[in-house]
Amino acid sequence: MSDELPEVLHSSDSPVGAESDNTLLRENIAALVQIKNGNIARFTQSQLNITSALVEQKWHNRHQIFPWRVKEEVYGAVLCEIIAHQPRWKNEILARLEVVYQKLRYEEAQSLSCTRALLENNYKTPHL
Amino acid sequence: MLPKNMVPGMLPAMQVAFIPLAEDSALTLNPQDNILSLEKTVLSANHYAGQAKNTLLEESDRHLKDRLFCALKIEALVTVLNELIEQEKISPADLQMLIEDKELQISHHSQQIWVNQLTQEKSWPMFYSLDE
Repeated sequence: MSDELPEVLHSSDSPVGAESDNTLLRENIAALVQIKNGNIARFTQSQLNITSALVEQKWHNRHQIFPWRVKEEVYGAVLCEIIAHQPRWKNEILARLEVVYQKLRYEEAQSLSCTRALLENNYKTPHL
Repeated sequence: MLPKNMVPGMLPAMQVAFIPLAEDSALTLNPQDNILSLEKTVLSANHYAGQAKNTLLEESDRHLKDRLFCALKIEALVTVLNELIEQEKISPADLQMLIEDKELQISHHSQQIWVNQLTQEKSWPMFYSLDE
Protein backbone atom coordinates (compact mmCIF):
# COMPACT_ATOMS: atom_id res chain seq x y z
CA MET A 1 0.00 0.00 0.00
CA SER A 2 2.95 2.33 0.62
CA ASP A 3 6.18 1.95 -1.35
CA GLU A 4 8.63 3.33 1.13
CA LEU A 5 7.68 0.91 3.90
CA PRO A 6 10.18 -1.87 4.62
CA GLU A 7 9.28 -5.36 3.46
CA VAL A 8 7.45 -7.68 5.77
CA LEU A 9 9.83 -9.95 7.64
CA HIS A 10 8.86 -13.40 8.76
CA SER A 11 10.22 -14.09 12.19
CA SER A 12 9.13 -17.73 12.17
CA ASP A 13 12.00 -18.91 9.95
CA SER A 14 14.81 -17.93 12.25
CA PRO A 15 14.73 -17.25 15.96
CA VAL A 16 15.19 -13.56 16.52
CA GLY A 17 16.21 -11.85 19.73
CA ALA A 18 13.87 -9.78 21.84
CA GLU A 19 15.30 -6.52 20.60
CA SER A 20 14.96 -7.17 16.88
CA ASP A 21 11.51 -8.61 17.56
CA ASN A 22 10.56 -5.35 19.18
CA THR A 23 11.87 -3.33 16.26
CA LEU A 24 9.94 -5.55 13.89
CA LEU A 25 6.80 -5.11 15.98
CA ARG A 26 7.24 -1.35 16.09
CA GLU A 27 7.73 -1.17 12.32
CA ASN A 28 4.74 -3.37 11.68
CA ILE A 29 2.54 -1.38 14.07
CA ALA A 30 3.56 1.84 12.29
CA ALA A 31 2.68 0.35 8.90
CA LEU A 32 -0.62 -1.06 10.18
CA VAL A 33 -1.66 2.22 11.79
CA GLN A 34 -0.95 3.95 8.48
CA ILE A 35 -3.15 1.45 6.65
CA LYS A 36 -5.85 1.86 9.28
CA ASN A 37 -5.78 5.64 9.02
CA GLY A 38 -6.01 5.36 5.24
CA ASN A 39 -9.11 3.18 5.61
CA ILE A 40 -10.66 5.55 8.12
CA ALA A 41 -10.05 8.50 5.79
CA ARG A 42 -11.46 6.62 2.80
CA PHE A 43 -14.47 5.07 4.50
CA THR A 44 -15.65 8.18 6.29
CA GLN A 45 -15.78 10.50 3.28
CA SER A 46 -19.15 12.20 3.27
CA GLN A 47 -19.69 11.72 -0.48
CA LEU A 48 -19.15 7.95 -0.23
CA ASN A 49 -22.24 5.83 -0.80
CA ILE A 50 -21.82 3.48 2.14
CA THR A 51 -24.39 0.92 0.99
CA SER A 52 -22.92 0.30 -2.45
CA ALA A 53 -19.34 0.45 -1.17
CA LEU A 54 -20.24 -2.12 1.48
CA VAL A 55 -21.83 -4.48 -1.04
CA GLU A 56 -18.72 -4.22 -3.21
CA GLN A 57 -16.36 -4.74 -0.29
CA LYS A 58 -18.25 -7.75 1.03
CA TRP A 59 -18.22 -9.30 -2.43
CA HIS A 60 -14.48 -8.75 -2.75
CA ASN A 61 -13.83 -10.10 0.74
CA ARG A 62 -15.82 -13.29 0.19
CA HIS A 63 -13.90 -14.00 -2.99
CA GLN A 64 -10.63 -13.34 -1.23
CA ILE A 65 -11.20 -15.69 1.71
CA PHE A 66 -13.09 -18.46 -0.12
CA PRO A 67 -10.04 -20.44 -1.40
CA TRP A 68 -8.53 -20.32 2.10
CA ARG A 69 -11.71 -21.64 3.67
CA VAL A 70 -11.68 -24.51 1.17
CA LYS A 71 -8.02 -25.22 1.87
CA GLU A 72 -8.56 -25.18 5.63
CA GLU A 73 -11.55 -27.53 5.29
CA VAL A 74 -9.50 -29.95 3.13
CA TYR A 75 -6.46 -30.07 5.44
CA GLY A 76 -8.69 -30.22 8.51
CA ALA A 77 -10.68 -33.08 7.01
CA VAL A 78 -7.41 -34.88 6.14
CA LEU A 79 -6.18 -34.59 9.73
CA CYS A 80 -9.52 -35.81 11.09
CA GLU A 81 -9.46 -38.77 8.70
CA ILE A 82 -6.00 -39.73 9.98
CA ILE A 83 -7.27 -39.47 13.56
CA ALA A 84 -10.34 -41.56 12.69
CA HIS A 85 -8.06 -44.33 11.37
CA GLN A 86 -5.66 -44.12 14.30
CA PRO A 87 -7.68 -43.13 17.37
CA ARG A 88 -4.71 -43.88 19.64
CA TRP A 89 -2.91 -40.85 18.19
CA LYS A 90 -5.89 -38.57 18.68
CA ASN A 91 -4.91 -36.83 21.92
CA GLU A 92 -1.29 -36.52 20.88
CA ILE A 93 -2.17 -35.00 17.49
CA LEU A 94 -4.78 -32.59 18.84
CA ALA A 95 -2.48 -31.47 21.65
CA ARG A 96 0.31 -30.90 19.14
CA LEU A 97 -2.05 -28.93 16.88
CA GLU A 98 -3.02 -26.69 19.78
CA VAL A 99 0.64 -26.19 20.81
CA VAL A 100 1.56 -25.22 17.22
CA TYR A 101 -1.38 -22.81 17.10
CA GLN A 102 -0.36 -21.26 20.42
CA LYS A 103 3.17 -20.80 19.09
CA LEU A 104 1.90 -19.10 15.93
CA ARG A 105 -0.47 -16.93 17.98
CA TYR A 106 2.37 -15.98 20.30
CA GLU A 107 4.66 -15.10 17.39
CA GLU A 108 1.92 -12.99 15.87
CA ALA A 109 1.47 -11.13 19.17
CA GLN A 110 5.23 -10.44 19.15
CA SER A 111 5.50 -9.29 15.55
CA LEU A 112 2.14 -8.74 13.76
CA SER A 113 3.99 -9.92 10.64
CA CYS A 114 1.13 -12.04 9.37
CA THR A 115 -1.42 -9.28 10.00
CA ARG A 116 0.69 -6.84 8.04
CA ALA A 117 1.32 -9.26 5.17
CA LEU A 118 -2.44 -9.89 4.97
CA LEU A 119 -3.26 -6.20 4.79
CA GLU A 120 -0.52 -5.56 2.24
CA ASN A 121 -1.74 -8.54 0.20
CA ASN A 122 1.52 -10.42 0.17
CA TYR A 123 0.64 -13.31 2.46
CA LYS A 124 0.55 -16.78 0.90
CA THR A 125 -0.94 -19.77 2.70
CA PRO A 126 1.43 -22.75 2.93
CA HIS A 127 0.90 -25.89 0.81
CA LEU A 128 1.30 -29.57 1.49
CA MET B 1 -7.90 -10.54 17.11
CA LEU B 2 -7.20 -14.27 17.34
CA PRO B 3 -9.25 -16.83 19.28
CA LYS B 4 -7.47 -18.28 22.30
CA ASN B 5 -7.67 -21.86 21.08
CA MET B 6 -7.78 -23.76 17.84
CA VAL B 7 -8.81 -27.08 19.35
CA PRO B 8 -12.05 -26.46 21.28
CA GLY B 9 -11.95 -27.45 24.91
CA MET B 10 -8.20 -27.92 24.89
CA LEU B 11 -6.85 -27.54 28.41
CA PRO B 12 -5.70 -24.06 29.39
CA ALA B 13 -2.44 -25.81 30.37
CA MET B 14 -1.56 -25.78 26.69
CA GLN B 15 -1.35 -22.01 26.78
CA VAL B 16 0.76 -22.00 29.90
CA ALA B 17 3.36 -23.99 27.98
CA PHE B 18 4.41 -20.81 26.22
CA ILE B 19 4.95 -18.56 29.18
CA PRO B 20 8.62 -19.59 29.64
CA LEU B 21 9.23 -18.37 26.08
CA ALA B 22 7.96 -14.94 27.08
CA GLU B 23 10.48 -14.80 29.92
CA ASP B 24 13.33 -15.59 27.55
CA SER B 25 12.45 -12.74 25.30
CA ALA B 26 12.54 -10.25 28.19
CA LEU B 27 9.09 -8.99 27.29
CA THR B 28 6.99 -8.51 30.35
CA LEU B 29 3.63 -8.45 28.61
CA ASN B 30 1.58 -11.58 28.74
CA PRO B 31 1.10 -12.69 25.10
CA GLN B 32 -2.64 -13.07 25.65
CA ASP B 33 -3.01 -9.50 26.88
CA ASN B 34 -0.52 -8.32 24.33
CA ILE B 35 -2.59 -9.39 21.36
CA LEU B 36 -5.67 -7.74 22.86
CA SER B 37 -3.91 -4.42 23.28
CA LEU B 38 -2.43 -4.71 19.78
CA GLU B 39 -5.91 -5.31 18.44
CA LYS B 40 -6.97 -1.94 19.80
CA THR B 41 -4.07 -0.27 18.00
CA VAL B 42 -4.46 -2.06 14.70
CA LEU B 43 -8.21 -2.44 14.16
CA SER B 44 -10.39 0.48 13.16
CA ALA B 45 -13.46 -0.07 15.31
CA ASN B 46 -11.95 1.19 18.55
CA HIS B 47 -11.06 4.44 16.90
CA TYR B 48 -14.68 5.09 16.92
CA ALA B 49 -15.63 5.09 20.57
CA GLY B 50 -18.75 7.15 21.10
CA GLN B 51 -19.30 7.89 17.42
CA ALA B 52 -21.74 6.42 14.94
CA LYS B 53 -20.60 3.03 13.71
CA ASN B 54 -19.10 2.75 10.26
CA THR B 55 -20.10 -0.50 8.60
CA LEU B 56 -17.20 -0.37 6.13
CA LEU B 57 -14.65 -0.21 8.92
CA GLU B 58 -16.44 -2.98 10.78
CA GLU B 59 -16.36 -5.14 7.66
CA SER B 60 -12.61 -4.50 7.25
CA ASP B 61 -11.95 -5.50 10.84
CA ARG B 62 -14.11 -8.59 10.58
CA HIS B 63 -12.48 -9.68 7.32
CA LEU B 64 -8.97 -9.22 8.74
CA LYS B 65 -9.81 -11.30 11.81
CA ASP B 66 -11.36 -14.06 9.66
CA ARG B 67 -8.35 -14.19 7.35
CA LEU B 68 -5.84 -14.13 10.19
CA PHE B 69 -7.48 -17.02 12.02
CA CYS B 70 -7.93 -18.98 8.79
CA ALA B 71 -4.26 -18.42 7.84
CA LEU B 72 -2.99 -19.57 11.24
CA LYS B 73 -5.22 -22.64 11.18
CA ILE B 74 -3.85 -23.60 7.75
CA GLU B 75 -0.28 -23.04 8.98
CA ALA B 76 -0.90 -25.16 12.08
CA LEU B 77 -2.51 -27.98 10.06
CA VAL B 78 0.34 -27.97 7.51
CA THR B 79 2.93 -28.07 10.31
CA VAL B 80 1.26 -30.98 12.10
CA LEU B 81 0.66 -32.98 8.90
CA ASN B 82 4.31 -32.51 7.92
CA GLU B 83 5.34 -33.71 11.37
CA LEU B 84 3.24 -36.85 10.93
CA ILE B 85 5.25 -37.57 7.78
CA GLU B 86 8.55 -36.93 9.57
CA GLN B 87 7.47 -39.29 12.35
CA GLU B 88 6.50 -41.83 9.66
CA LYS B 89 2.98 -42.00 11.01
CA ILE B 90 1.79 -41.54 7.45
CA SER B 91 3.66 -41.90 4.15
CA PRO B 92 3.87 -38.94 1.78
CA ALA B 93 2.04 -40.99 -0.87
CA ASP B 94 -0.83 -41.86 1.49
CA LEU B 95 -1.11 -38.25 2.59
CA GLN B 96 -1.22 -37.08 -1.01
CA MET B 97 -3.94 -39.58 -1.77
CA LEU B 98 -5.92 -38.46 1.25
CA ILE B 99 -5.58 -34.81 0.22
CA GLU B 100 -6.80 -35.54 -3.31
CA ASP B 101 -9.66 -37.56 -1.89
CA LYS B 102 -10.76 -34.73 0.43
CA GLU B 103 -10.25 -32.09 -2.24
CA LEU B 104 -12.58 -33.99 -4.53
CA GLN B 105 -15.11 -34.57 -1.77
CA ILE B 106 -15.14 -30.94 -0.60
CA SER B 107 -15.11 -29.49 -4.14
CA HIS B 108 -18.50 -31.14 -4.62
CA HIS B 109 -19.76 -29.17 -1.64
CA SER B 110 -17.86 -25.94 -2.16
CA GLN B 111 -21.17 -24.26 -2.93
CA GLN B 112 -22.12 -24.87 0.71
CA ILE B 113 -18.99 -23.05 1.84
CA TRP B 114 -19.84 -20.13 -0.43
CA VAL B 115 -23.45 -19.99 0.76
CA ASN B 116 -22.37 -20.15 4.39
CA GLN B 117 -20.11 -17.17 3.76
CA LEU B 118 -23.24 -15.27 2.80
CA THR B 119 -25.56 -16.55 5.50
CA GLN B 120 -23.10 -17.43 8.30
CA GLU B 121 -25.79 -19.91 9.26
CA LYS B 122 -23.43 -22.69 10.32
CA SER B 123 -20.29 -22.22 12.35
CA TRP B 124 -16.88 -22.83 10.78
CA PRO B 125 -15.36 -25.23 9.95
CA MET B 126 -18.09 -27.15 8.09
CA PHE B 127 -16.36 -30.34 6.97
CA TYR B 128 -14.21 -31.31 9.93
CA SER B 129 -14.44 -31.06 13.68
CA LEU B 130 -11.75 -31.07 16.32
CA ASP B 131 -14.34 -31.50 19.07
CA GLU B 132 -14.65 -34.69 21.09
